[in-house]
Amino acid sequence: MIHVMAVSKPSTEIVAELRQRMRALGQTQRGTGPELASTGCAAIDSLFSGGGIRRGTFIEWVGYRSANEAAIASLLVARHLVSRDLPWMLIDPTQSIHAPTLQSLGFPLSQVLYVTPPTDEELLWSCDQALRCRSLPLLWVLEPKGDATTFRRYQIAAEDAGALAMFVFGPQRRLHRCWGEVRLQVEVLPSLHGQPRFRIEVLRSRTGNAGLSVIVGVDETGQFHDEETLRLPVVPELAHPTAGVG
Amino acid sequence: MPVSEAQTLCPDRRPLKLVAVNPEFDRILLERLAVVAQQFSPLVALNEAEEPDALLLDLTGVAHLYGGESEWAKSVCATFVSKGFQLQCAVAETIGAAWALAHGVHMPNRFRVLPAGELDRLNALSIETLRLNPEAHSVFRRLGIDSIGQLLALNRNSLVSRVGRAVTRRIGQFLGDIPELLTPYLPPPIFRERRQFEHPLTQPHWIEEISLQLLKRLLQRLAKRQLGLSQLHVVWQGEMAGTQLAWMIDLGRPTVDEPLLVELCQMKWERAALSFAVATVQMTAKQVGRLQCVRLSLFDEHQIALRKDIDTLVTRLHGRLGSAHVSHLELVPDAIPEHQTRLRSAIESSEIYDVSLDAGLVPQLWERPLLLAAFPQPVDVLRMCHHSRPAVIKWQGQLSELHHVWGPERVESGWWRRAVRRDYYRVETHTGQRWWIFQRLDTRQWFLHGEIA
Repeated sequence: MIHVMAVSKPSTEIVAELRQRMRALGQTQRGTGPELASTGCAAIDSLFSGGGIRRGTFIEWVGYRSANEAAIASLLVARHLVSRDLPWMLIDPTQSIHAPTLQSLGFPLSQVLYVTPPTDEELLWSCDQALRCRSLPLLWVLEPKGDATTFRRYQIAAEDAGALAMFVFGPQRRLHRCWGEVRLQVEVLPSLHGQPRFRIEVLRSRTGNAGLSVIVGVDETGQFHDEETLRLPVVPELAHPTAGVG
Repeated sequence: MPVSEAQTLCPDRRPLKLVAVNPEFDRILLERLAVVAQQFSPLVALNEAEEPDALLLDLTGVAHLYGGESEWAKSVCATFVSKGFQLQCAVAETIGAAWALAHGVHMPNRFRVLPAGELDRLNALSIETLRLNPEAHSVFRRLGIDSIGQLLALNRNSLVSRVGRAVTRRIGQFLGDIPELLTPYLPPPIFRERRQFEHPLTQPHWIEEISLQLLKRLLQRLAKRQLGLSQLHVVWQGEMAGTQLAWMIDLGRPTVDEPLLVELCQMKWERAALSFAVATVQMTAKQVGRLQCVRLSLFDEHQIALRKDIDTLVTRLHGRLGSAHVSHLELVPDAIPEHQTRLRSAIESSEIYDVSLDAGLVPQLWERPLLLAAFPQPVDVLRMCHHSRPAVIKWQGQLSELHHVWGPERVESGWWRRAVRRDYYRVETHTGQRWWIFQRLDTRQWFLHGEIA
């Protein structure tokens, strides 16, 4: 006669073990994203060494003619970096963000923590606090101000906490030293087939990608496409099969 | 009544003052009034309704202390009128009768006392003062029964089958045949820690140290009752009248997290300009709430930890910047672009992360600018093309030829507001920039309201 005996662990022990394994998996994550985040467009990913945006850094977005160009392009990229379940932070000292447009870009407004620091000192403090929050999926700041010490502080805070941040500037920022992982310049180009196009150029990079540039278009859903895809001929609408019958 | 109709009733077309209905605030105010009313009766209750609007006081064994029921009612009226309130006060032998008297005879700020055994004097009052349900009202209206006297003349047993027991219960309560119980309103306990010094303190670090000790004691008291702090009021008071510093610290959700509260307090204190010696330190829990228990599961533990971390960040930002600077954006159905956004405190709405949204409020992509100019900037339209659309414009000294023009989209405000009449156009310049420009229909001037891309 064969006796089969199964030795089972207590359920609490199994749950604790599973939790431990999951925590180990989560150690490589911040928020809900991986260490290297894709922008959602291969052409833009190619501007970053490693093929994506590395967490623990911030990116400087500079508009060619105005901050608006950089703001739009950076938010279209940011759509792929935020989580559906966690709020992200938008710091707007000028209070000029138009909420309906933000919603039309694909951001549920209930997930946006909108911060409007009243002074430069509060702006610095707010950015620093947000960068040090390990759970915030993304920090997006419109025209942050500060000297070299301030930006160095941001750099350290982002590295320490593994933060991901986007700082958006107007064209005058080109004259200043770059503290971000990469500085991208965004220029709006004449539209093609009614789709807006942007030239995104790496002005400065810590990893030697400076000088690279791509032209990308945006479709009606806000998705970036590289220029080759953009130039594909659009199939004309087929005539109705019943037309001409009889 | 619609706002437009209300406006027509205002003399000389003066602007209408609109106050939003806020049942929650009304209830809080009524509860405060109940506390005030406790000086007149040991048993004060709010009427039992979803949105209570009256106070019920039991004056059994109390009236003689004031020299009779009339004197008692006079004192009640005087107290509330002196605080700026208008009230209807009535004394009767049953709650139903007092209710009918208070609601049936409109005499603001004056009291009415119905002597015992004289309920028949209320027979002429409308049956609407009997707290009946709306269905019963409509039945009686159809039957031509308008007054209490008419209703009381009917056979109560036959009423049960026609309009239900609720009506006969109300009649019984009015006559005193059926007892009606009052549920006394008990104000929540006050959580306050206070320390007064024999010799006022001038050293900020001593004052801070003592304040933190008081905070710890306050948190311990709250924790024993499974309560958390939602709003903390801190006062440093000097010896002279009027010399005081006070702070209010709002928290996202009830908490007894000592390190977080210490940090928030210190953020407030580090910017305080203390110009007097502090004689009293007081810490009051202005709002408390039940500590929330989070049920952990295998898969969402990580998510809960992340959310908690972000909540702490919001609380910290809120503590330093204030509620006006840390918020959620909300869309408002308004035609004027400047008025389409409303800010809602992130602290108040920390529980709400998924708000269903009216899709009609959200524009299509590339229809509106991301950054809206606070003050639209004037542009010169140098040439118009057919259909009266702009073809060449000049802004900040630069000429731009327009390759694409979409519009116009007319935007008008309601006639009861400051008149805004604009024709908006989306234009694309020869360099690819997309702007949102408009023409004022009254002055025919052109303005740039924002860059779309």
